[in-house]
Amino acid sequence: MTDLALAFKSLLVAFVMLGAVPLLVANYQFLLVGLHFRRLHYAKCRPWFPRTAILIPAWNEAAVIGTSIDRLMLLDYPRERLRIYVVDDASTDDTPQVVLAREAEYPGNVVHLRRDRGGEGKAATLNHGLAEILADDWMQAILIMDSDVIYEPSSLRRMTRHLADPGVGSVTAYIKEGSRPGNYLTRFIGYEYITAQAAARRSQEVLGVIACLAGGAQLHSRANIEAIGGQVDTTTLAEDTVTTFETQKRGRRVIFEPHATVWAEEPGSIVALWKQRLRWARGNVQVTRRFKSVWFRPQRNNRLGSISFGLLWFCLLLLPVFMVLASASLVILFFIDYQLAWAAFHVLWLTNVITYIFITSFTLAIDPGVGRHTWKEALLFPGLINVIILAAALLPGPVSWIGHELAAAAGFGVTLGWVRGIELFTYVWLSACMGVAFVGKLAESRTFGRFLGPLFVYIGGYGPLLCAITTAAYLKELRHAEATWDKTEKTGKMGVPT
Amino acid sequence: MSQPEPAAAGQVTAQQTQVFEDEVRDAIRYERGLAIRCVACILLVAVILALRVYFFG
Repeated sequence: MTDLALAFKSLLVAFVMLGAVPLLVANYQFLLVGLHFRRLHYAKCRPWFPRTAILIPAWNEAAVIGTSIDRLMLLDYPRERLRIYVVDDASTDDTPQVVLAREAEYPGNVVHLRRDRGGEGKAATLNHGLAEILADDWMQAILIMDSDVIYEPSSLRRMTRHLADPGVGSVTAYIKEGSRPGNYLTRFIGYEYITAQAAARRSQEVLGVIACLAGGAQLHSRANIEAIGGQVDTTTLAEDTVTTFETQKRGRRVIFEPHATVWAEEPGSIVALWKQRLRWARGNVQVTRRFKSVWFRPQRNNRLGSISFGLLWFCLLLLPVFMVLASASLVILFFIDYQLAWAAFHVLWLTNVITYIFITSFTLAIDPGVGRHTWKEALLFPGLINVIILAAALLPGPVSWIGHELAAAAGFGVTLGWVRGIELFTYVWLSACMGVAFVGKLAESRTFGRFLGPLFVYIGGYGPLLCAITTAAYLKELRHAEATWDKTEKTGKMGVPT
Repeated sequence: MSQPEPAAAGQVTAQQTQVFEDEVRDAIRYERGLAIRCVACILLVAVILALRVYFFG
């Protein structure tokens, strides 16, 4: 073999192994969750009830805003130290009437702010409210939330107690999916939120850096909101992430309070999920560019530049790239060195098996309450075909035997050609699963869409669907597509467990 | 950064202090429990891999 051929094969194997990096980083992230008890902030907490302004941006939120205000008035928090500011972004439905009725019902606690010219996006709406609130000195802390989220009664005071430490700039809560009765997609999101919030934010806290304050639950001290300029960013689609980064860049700590629970209604259709997540993913691409001087450059006053945080951030952002590279490399290797392809595939998928078992079991253990009604979606998170491949990687003998039995029952024998074909299919599937999940989005709005949409997501996988959305975000950003704020429709069908 | 004035936090009752202490104790217990659950999940992976190596390899 020539040196060139050897170098080419080595490069392909390296690309396949690169696919294992996000898996190893995911395992590292979840191992950190187990160390969270060593990084708790409670030693610096006290019962702490600053005068808190709750800022709610609202555009055509008549279905949900009344319930949200009512629930906020049930917060276990001194009522005289609470004011709710609803910034009505030129709503055309009954939002103003609903808010004005609540203003009359809770005098001194609810303030209706009206923007006559709307449609400039959530960040501009928030800035309108921030300007009003900062104009007088009543506010000591500000809670920025979404109009549809529901706070458990203890959640705000569990968050404010961290502000007793002046080194803390912001606090966020644990957002859970609260749609009831919900459907298959909200159950996927419910499970995803354990991984993305309860687990990921705990591990980030161990590293001393938080990637994002949840948009629906971000509490800031007055000092912090003033330090970052008294307004939120309007130039990206991820104003909450920018606020989080700016807070930490100025040396203030951001805290995740996992025991402050906030319930949110999440999209119940693939099309709505796609719209929401495309905005988030594009926002993350924009944040990555905006803070390019931060990555992998350790600073004295914050941990944004730490190697660990950089790995967590980029492994998630570049996951589709890793998947496509590994898949394409395996396919090329299959044709030029079959044995090498098989060996590389084996290493990659055994890493996948370990990751799948560890992360799925630990995620369900982190929040058993949510896990009880999302365990099926947890098991099928990578998609049915990927789960079968995982099973084959773990138990090649039994799965092969089942395959032969099924083939025999169907009346045809398994030839070497068939085996090779299946192997090639598994190599291709590593990236093709994203496309199949994407087909679910296309199918949803067509005939039998209510049946085909879920079918494609279960087969292709919810995780691959998120990767497909990230890929779409790359493309939109590369094309400099217009960044509009597409609001996620909310129905108010929330059921908060008591 | 200096410690904020206690008055900034409003008057805190003995009951609120008690609730705070109870909640913090429960939270610490839960977080320590997560460490044990993490170890249990690692053991689960180890057992499954051992079964694979010795019985289904």
